[in-house]
Amino acid sequence: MSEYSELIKNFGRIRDYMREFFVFGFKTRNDFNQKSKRTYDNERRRIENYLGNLTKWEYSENGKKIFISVDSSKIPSNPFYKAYKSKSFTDNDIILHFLILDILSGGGRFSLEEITDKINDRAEILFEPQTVRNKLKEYIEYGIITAEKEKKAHFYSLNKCDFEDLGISKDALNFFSEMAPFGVIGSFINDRINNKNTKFQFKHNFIVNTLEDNILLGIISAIKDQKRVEIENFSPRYENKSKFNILPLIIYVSVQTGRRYVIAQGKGKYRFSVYRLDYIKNVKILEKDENFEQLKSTLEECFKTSFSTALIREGRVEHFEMTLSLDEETEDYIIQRLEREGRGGKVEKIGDNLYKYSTDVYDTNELTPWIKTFIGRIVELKGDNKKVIRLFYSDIKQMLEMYGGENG
Amino acid sequence: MDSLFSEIFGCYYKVIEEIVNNSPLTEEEIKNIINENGFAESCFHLLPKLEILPFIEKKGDKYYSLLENKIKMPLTKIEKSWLKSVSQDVRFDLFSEDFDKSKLAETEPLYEQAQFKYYDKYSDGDDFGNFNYQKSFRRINEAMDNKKVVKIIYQSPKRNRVTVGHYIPLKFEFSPKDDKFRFFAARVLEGRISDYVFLNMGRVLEVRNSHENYDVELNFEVHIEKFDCAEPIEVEIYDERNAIERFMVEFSAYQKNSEFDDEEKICRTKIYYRNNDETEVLIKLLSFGPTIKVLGPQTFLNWFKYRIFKQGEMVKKEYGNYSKNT
Repeated sequence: MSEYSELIKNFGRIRDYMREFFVFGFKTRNDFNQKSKRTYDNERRRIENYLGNLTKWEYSENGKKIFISVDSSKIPSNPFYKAYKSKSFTDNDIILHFLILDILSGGGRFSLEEITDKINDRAEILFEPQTVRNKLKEYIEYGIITAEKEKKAHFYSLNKCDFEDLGISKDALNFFSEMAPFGVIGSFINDRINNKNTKFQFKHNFIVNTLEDNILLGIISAIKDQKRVEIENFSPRYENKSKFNILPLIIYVSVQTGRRYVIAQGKGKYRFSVYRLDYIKNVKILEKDENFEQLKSTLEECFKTSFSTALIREGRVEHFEMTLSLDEETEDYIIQRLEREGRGGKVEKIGDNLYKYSTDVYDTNELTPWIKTFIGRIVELKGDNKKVIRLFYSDIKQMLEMYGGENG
Repeated sequence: MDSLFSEIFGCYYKVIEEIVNNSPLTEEEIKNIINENGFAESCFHLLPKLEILPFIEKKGDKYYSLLENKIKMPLTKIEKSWLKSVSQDVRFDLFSEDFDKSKLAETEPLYEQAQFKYYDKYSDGDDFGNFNYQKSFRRINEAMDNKKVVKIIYQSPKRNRVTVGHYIPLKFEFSPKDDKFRFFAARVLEGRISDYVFLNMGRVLEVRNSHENYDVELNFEVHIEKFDCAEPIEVEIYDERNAIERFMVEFSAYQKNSEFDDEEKICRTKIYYRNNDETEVLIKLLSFGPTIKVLGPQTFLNWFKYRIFKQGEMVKKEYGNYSKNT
C-alpha cells in the first residue's frame, strides 16, 4: 500500500477529477468506476487540500457527492492554478535547487567541479558531478542558468532577469494572469514577487479551462513550427479513446460556451476537424508539414461561412433569415444584440418595429441556440434548411406544453 | 517540450524559499508561512522535510538558514516568453507605460494573438487602443490606487444622455465575452456615499479631479454582495441532445449546486447569479429550448413563461403549418 502524498507526479488524473467536481458536481464515489476507490479517495483528498473551502460535499440520494462551488466572478485568482503547483520532487531535487541558486546568487561563475565541490561541502550526502551536471542542464533549459564555454570547460552563472527589471506593472501581471492564455504562468511570477490581485474581477470566466493549458502548450508549439501532432483523444460521450495524427492550425475559443478547440487538417477532403481541448489527453509533436500555410488560408475563408464549428471547405451555403418584432423606442438594445452577436450577419429594418437578420452559413443548425435567445420576439424564420426551422417550431410547441401554455 | 507542471513553480519550493529568506524563524512562524503558501496538509508533510535539508538548521526553538544569499529564482524562459506575448496584447498599454520593450527584444513570444480565434466574442467590445479610452482608464486606475474621488463625465446607456457624477472607483471587472471593462464605484454626493454602481469603461467620456472628498475606508465586498440574487434559479436538464454536458460547461462560470437522478436521467441544478445579470441568464436558459425546464423561483419562472407564451402567440400560424411535418 503506497503512502498518501499531497504532491503528484502526473497531472492527468487530478485534471480529470477537478473537472468532474467543478463542471458537473453531482457525481458520487460510485460514479467514478474507472478507477479504484483508493484512487478516488486520494484524488478527492488532494483536491480538498488544494482548494480548501471551495470544495464542498453533500449527501444526495446516490451517496456523498463532492463538488467545487465557486462564482468565478468573485475570486481574485483562478483556484485551479494550484494544481500546477503540486508536482512532486525528490530530496536531491530540492537540495540541489537551493544550493545551486545560493552558490550562483553571489554573482560569480563557476565550473561544474567548483559547483560540485561547494555543494558537497554543505550537503550531508555526496553528489556525483554527473548528478549536478544534469540539474544544471535542466536549469539551462528552464532559462535560469547560462553556461559559457571557455577552452574545454563550461562555466555556469545565474541568468539575472527579474520581473521588476522589465517595467511591467503589477496591474498588468494581475490582469493577464487571469485573462491571457497560459495565465498560470503569470501566477508563478506573482507567487515569487508576493503579488496578489485585489483590483480586478472577471465575469464569464471559464476558470476550469486552465486544466488544459499543458496540452495547449504542446499544440501551440506545433502550430508555431507548423508541425503535425499525434493526439490521444477521449470522448466522454462515447467513452472511447482514439489517436489522431493531425496538423493543428488554430485554437478556436468560445467565450460564451466555455469550450476551446483545436482546428486541424481533417480526415475528409472537405472538412476541417475540430477537437475539444478538454478531451485531449496527450500530445506528441511530429514532423513539419509544408501544407500549413495553404491550409491556414483555406481555413480563414471557411470562417466567413461558419457560425460556430462547421468549417467546410467546399459545398453549398444555406441562406437564413429571422424577422424580429421590437419596440424601436424602448428596445433598441435588441438591434444592438443582433449587430454584436450576429457574427457578420446583415441587420436591416424592414418595417415599423420590424427587423430582419440574414446570413449565409454552411450549417444553419449552428444558429439554433442563438435564435432561441430571441424567443418572444420571432415573427418569422425563413431559410434553405427547412429541417432546422421545423425543429424550432416543434421546440416551441414542446415548450408551450411543458409550461402549460399550449393554447397561448 | 516545455511543461507548466514543474516543481520549480511548486508551492513547496515557494515555502522553503520564504523560510530561508526570512530565517531565523520559530516553528509557529514556519507554520504560518506554510499555511499561507502551501496546501491544507502541507504542514504535516513539510515540517519533517526541514530536518533533512542540509541548508536549514534547528538551534534551540528556531530554524536558521545556512545559505549565504537571499534566494530569488530569476524569470524562466517560459515566463519571459509569456510576458512577451502579453506585452503584444492590445490591452497591455492600459497598464504598462514604462515597459522597456528592449528588455524582451531577444525573447520569442510563447504564443501569437493570431494563433487564437475567439469566434463568438461580441463585436462591440471596448476600443482599448483609443487614446481617450486609455487616458480615462489610467485615471480611474490611479484613483482606485489612491482611493480618490474623481469626477466622471459619462454617456448613459439610456438614450445616450450625458451625466456627471463624483465617484470612488473600487474595482475593475472584465468580461471576455463582452470584451469590455466595467468598474464598480461608490457615488459621492456632498461628502457622503449615495449609491454603488457599475459603470462601463467604454462610456466614460472624461475623468477629472473632483472637489469631493471621502476618507472613510470602504468595504467593497459587503456592497457587491447586495447584487447577489435573493434565490437561485432552479432548473431541470434532460438527458437529450447532449444538454447536460452543454449546460454544465456553459454554466460553469456561475456558482451552482447540482444533483443527478439516475432513475429519471434528469439533472437538477440551482444557479446563483447577480441580479443585474438576470436577463442574460434568462436568454441563456432560453437557448436550451425544451432540453431544460425552469422550475423557479416564481417571478423568474413567470418571466420565462411570458417569453414562451408570447412566442406561441406570434407564430401560431407558422407553428401550425410546421407541426404537421414534425
